[in-house]
Amino acid sequence: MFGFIKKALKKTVDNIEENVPKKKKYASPEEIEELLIEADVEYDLVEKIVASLPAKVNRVALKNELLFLFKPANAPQADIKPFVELIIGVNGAGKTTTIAKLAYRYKQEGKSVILGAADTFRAAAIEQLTRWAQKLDVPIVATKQGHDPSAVAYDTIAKAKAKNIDNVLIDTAGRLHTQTNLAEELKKIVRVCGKAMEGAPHRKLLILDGTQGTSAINQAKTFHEMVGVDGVIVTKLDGTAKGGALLSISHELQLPILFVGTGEKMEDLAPFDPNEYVDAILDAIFE
Amino acid sequence: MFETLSNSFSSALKKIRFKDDEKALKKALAELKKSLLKADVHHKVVKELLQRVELDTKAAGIGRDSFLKALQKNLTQILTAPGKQGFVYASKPPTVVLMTGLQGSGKTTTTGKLANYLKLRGKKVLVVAADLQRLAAVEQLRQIAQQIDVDFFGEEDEKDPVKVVNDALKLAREKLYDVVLIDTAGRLAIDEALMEELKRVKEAANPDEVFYVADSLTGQDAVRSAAKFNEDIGITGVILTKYDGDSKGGVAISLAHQIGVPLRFIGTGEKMPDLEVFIPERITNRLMGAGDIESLAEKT
Ligand SMILES: Nc1nc2c(ncn2[C@@H]2O[C@H](COP(=O)(O)OP(=O)(O)OP(=O)(O)O)[C@@H](O)[C@H]2O)c(=O)[nH]1
Ligand SMILES: Nc1nc2c(ncn2[C@@H]2O[C@H](COP(=O)(O)OP(=O)(O)OP(=O)(O)O)[C@@H](O)[C@H]2O)c(=O)[nH]1
Ligand SMILES: [Mg+2]
Ligand SMILES: [Mg+2]
Repeated sequence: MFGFIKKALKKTVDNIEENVPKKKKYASPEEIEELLIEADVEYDLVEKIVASLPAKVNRVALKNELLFLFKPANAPQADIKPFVELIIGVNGAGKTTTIAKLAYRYKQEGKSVILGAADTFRAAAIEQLTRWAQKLDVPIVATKQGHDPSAVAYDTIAKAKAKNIDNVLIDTAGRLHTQTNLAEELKKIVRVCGKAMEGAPHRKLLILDGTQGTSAINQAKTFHEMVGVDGVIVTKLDGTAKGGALLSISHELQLPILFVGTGEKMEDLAPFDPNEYVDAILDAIFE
Repeated sequence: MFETLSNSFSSALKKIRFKDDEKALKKALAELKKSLLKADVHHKVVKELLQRVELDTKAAGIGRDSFLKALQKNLTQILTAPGKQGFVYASKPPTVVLMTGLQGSGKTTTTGKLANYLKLRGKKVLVVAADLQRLAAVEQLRQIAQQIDVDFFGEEDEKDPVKVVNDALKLAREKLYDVVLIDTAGRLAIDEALMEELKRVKEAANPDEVFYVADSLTGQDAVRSAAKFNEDIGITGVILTKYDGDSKGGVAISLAHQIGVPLRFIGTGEKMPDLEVFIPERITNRLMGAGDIESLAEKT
């Protein structure tokens, strides 16, 4: 998996290198400020980072400073079966595709997976997930468009229990964080999951579109208040020069970033490693 | 849609009396600047707008009316880029429209919204599924077309979008369609293979319009990516979607001016009627609180 993040951040790094053409051993706070702004780290956070730096900064010092901003991820409890994950986020962020990527990953790890098509709202959302299920050769629970999404979630968990399946992944309809009427629906899905199995959903994963910068932070805040978010997956990192937003997301929300999406295929998901990430950005200016 | 901006315009106006002095004008301009920047209007565009408003207001004699007029005139200019406004029909039907953009920006949904908009205006519309990449993309457009009762063209097992486009256009000419809307797969401008494919699709379609569908949640990135598509493919209009999110309005204000391509429509929800035509004069009237009835009537 190594190198994935570096590849995904290529656009961000290219952008920085255009502005800071020469690599060096030490950088000034001004240069670092520029580096971070160019990577689209929020200005408040840039100010905070830069304020604590000495006049000459070397790579190791800055790296420690940046790593400090990341919230470490807790390893999921291994003994829960089925382990239920609910996927949420705004429209078009990449929820359905990320489910396929996660299912592929779990299968690679030798686990059994079932999908729940609880986006019963968008046109052909059910068909989209169904085709992924066929492609991945995993079972799926699906109804018709317009049916109750909570019922789908319930049935998926019930089936996983009956068939002794390891992992449950439940898709939901995209909803903007500003659409308060859709919040109730989401809360209900969460409640009903808990009825199907004590403690479910075990992880509520928020999918954020990596090209959305500051809006992604607002989204995360609202969704977190709405249902509580356990971890974040940032998609479309292959298409953004805004890789720096990850720093702000992690720092502002104190939520762990679990994976990053780097393309449209099922293999295009990499575990997020703050070390690798920070190195990729620092490579742009330091030797 | 532009409530925040509209409110800040009126608070800027309040800083200046019927007849007033340079100090009042400076205050009004400062207020204007603050609110535009807060609304995410690009800082260069803000600067330019303020300079022009200041000049024009002074030339006409400082006062509330001249300030209002200057603001209205220059704002309209900023919102206007060379090109068409609203939906424009080709002189010889069918009018062919290519829908392009990044993954998940709203192309397929907006194809449906536009088809619905045109259908309500009595046009015979064909929507074409030329996204053969994403799973169930064809099915999605088929279902949307069915829902709004518009004709659909798709070829289930075809792999080449160029073939689909050729076949669709042949049909459209035979059956005398007024408008053909072609949905394409989402792609990043840095994905060379997919951009090449889009060029081939464009050549085959020979479209009257290439619309770039941009997610307004991406803020200034929407402007950057539109500019890139314009360079690589050539676009004739931009449609901003998901305006019902926390977009502060600024992208819509500076977009045309920054890339030199007009903003044509705005998407304000997931449903088919959630589309508004963007005509600069009407938008400025609304921003100035003129309560433009014509524009309300245009809502589908
Ligand atoms: N380049 C790139 N594209 C991605 C990535 N993840 C998803 N996509 C694409 O983004 C588009 C939207 O993805 P979906 O998975 O349908 O998004 P969604 O959140 O389920 O969308 P809705 O259900 O409509 O809200 C599709 O075209 C995906 O192929 C990624 O990491 N990189
Ligand atoms: N709230 C809101 N949602 C929208 C709007 N336009 C589109 N959407 C939603 O955004 C998501 C993605 O829309 P699509 O039309 O599938 O996007 P696309 O560009 O065709 O996506 P790909 O084909 O995967 O690249 C869907 O859930 C739509 O319902 C809008 O103006 N407002
Ligand atoms: Mg989906
Ligand atoms: Mg589409």
